[in-house]
Amino acid sequence: MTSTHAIEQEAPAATAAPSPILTVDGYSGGFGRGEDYRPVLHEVSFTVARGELTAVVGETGSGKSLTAMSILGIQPPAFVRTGGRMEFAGRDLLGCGDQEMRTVRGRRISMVFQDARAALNPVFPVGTQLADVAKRHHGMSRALAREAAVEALRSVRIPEPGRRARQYPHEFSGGMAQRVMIAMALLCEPELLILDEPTTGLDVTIQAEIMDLITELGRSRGLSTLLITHDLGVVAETAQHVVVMRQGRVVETGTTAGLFLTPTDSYTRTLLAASRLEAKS
Amino acid sequence: MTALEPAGAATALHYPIVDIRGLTKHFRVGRPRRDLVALDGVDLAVEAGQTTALVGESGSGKSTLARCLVGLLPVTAGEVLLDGIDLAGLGSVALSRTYRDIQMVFQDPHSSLNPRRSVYQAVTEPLRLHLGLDRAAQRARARELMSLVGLEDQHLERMPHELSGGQRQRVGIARAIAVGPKVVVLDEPTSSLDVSVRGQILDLLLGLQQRLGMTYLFISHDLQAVRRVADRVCVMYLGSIVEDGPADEVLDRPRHPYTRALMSAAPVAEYGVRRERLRLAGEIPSPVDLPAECRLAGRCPYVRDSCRTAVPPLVTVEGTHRSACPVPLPS
Repeated sequence: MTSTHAIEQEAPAATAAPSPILTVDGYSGGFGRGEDYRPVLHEVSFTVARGELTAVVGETGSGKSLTAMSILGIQPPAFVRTGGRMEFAGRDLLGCGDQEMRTVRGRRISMVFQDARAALNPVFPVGTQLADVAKRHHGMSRALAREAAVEALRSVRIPEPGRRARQYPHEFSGGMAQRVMIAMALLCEPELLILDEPTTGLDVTIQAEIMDLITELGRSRGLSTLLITHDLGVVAETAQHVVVMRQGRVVETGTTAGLFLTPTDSYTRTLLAASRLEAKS
Repeated sequence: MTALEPAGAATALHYPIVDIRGLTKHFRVGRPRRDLVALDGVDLAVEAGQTTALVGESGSGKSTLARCLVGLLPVTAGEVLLDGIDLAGLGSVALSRTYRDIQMVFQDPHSSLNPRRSVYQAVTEPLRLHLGLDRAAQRARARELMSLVGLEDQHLERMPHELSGGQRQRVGIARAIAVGPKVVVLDEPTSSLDVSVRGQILDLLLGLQQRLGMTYLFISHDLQAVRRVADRVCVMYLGSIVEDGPADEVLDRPRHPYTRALMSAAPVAEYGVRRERLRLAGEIPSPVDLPAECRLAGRCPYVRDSCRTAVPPLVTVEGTHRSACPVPLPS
């Protein structure tokens, strides 16, 4: 297990800026073999800057989730990669084996999925599931792991964390369950946090609180975050950088200000217009 | 058999085509059985030819209200008048005739269409059941419906899985308007669609309303979509309406703390927009055994002692704009 070492490759465009924590470069692939092969990702390239929140925005079928899953090596088994590179903190993610990937996944890169209640095991108390993560990743004793679990719930501002830790997932609302997932992801003190549609399906007031929490945790812990979303409203309020994807291609990347104020791609403009509906006259 | 209300107001330009009075719906839940109050005496008048939006978060009772309205759920108390006729007083024959006038479009067109039936079968089923049209007339009407919702004749032969989400929702709309209803209940019709499709479906709904003069009850938590289509907005919280009025008034000058919280939490796709957030404490409480106090009392930053003594009624703010909060809020 090596820690970060300098990047030997020619860094794309960025000259003076610190090296990005994640570089996705020309990532391509699809489903099926031989004549049935259907490409779905076409040379997807973007970077995630250290300590910032980068959002990947796109609609259904844009390939945003598939790209995110590929970072952790959890893409569907039928997906065939045809080219490209993914580099995390100087390490080639696609080249490393299962064994090595396991030390990266969860510990150095954590992921939070859309449906939190489906991601939690319904037959174990939430605290036990958090403690298991602490034991596995930090080799803690049971008592220490227990404490870490309660502390993790507290850190995502769940009221009465001690009592809540003993409860089962069905006793949590969607918003609270998503906080648990974020707590679990952060328990491993990852360098990169991937959030795949973390607030989709939640009510707007709950969504706003989860995004506030993510922004605040990002700031206080200097987290590098990759947010996968279809909601440009969420992007405008939380992201520093935006990657726009459509049908497996990156159509535009830039700073949030640049993308919203001077979008260059026509699809980006369409998406922006569609997100800002006019009132009935 | 039919309790006809005096329809004197029908001559005026605006009259309530749907008049809901004291609608109450309880569910018996848990052990020992307790009452879950999903709707708590809701009064709602839906103006003919207009779009009335019902907004609120999960558990507010907006979908329960829609389901009671179209007869999918029996009501516990209260009455629903459609064009002056009390639906509760109707026998099954008259009732099924009445339900021709009120149709529903569901949230997820993927699960609301039978996967084994073609689009043709889906849109002609109500024609057969409600109108008893012969094959030739069904065929002609099916084609007409396709063009009304912006699909081609060839789509009639497709199966639901061969259609995109937007196309499926167009089929859902075609099916709802097939029998020429007066009122269409739209339950989150765009919330499972991509943003670029959302606008197209909303525009389609607006166009159909203009051409066919239908009344919409538009249920949504998407305030952007509501702003796009609504003439009037009703905000629901825990089974009650807490604010209602003309769409621009409610959306731009909300009076109730819950409406303000909802509006201020909705993200805007603009860069550098700083919103003044009104935060509510905690989460929506359980609708079982609700105390007789303002439903928002436990979460509201403006709560006073008087909020705890009774459920505050809707009072007029200005014109037809009403709010169930007597506390003057900072503007």
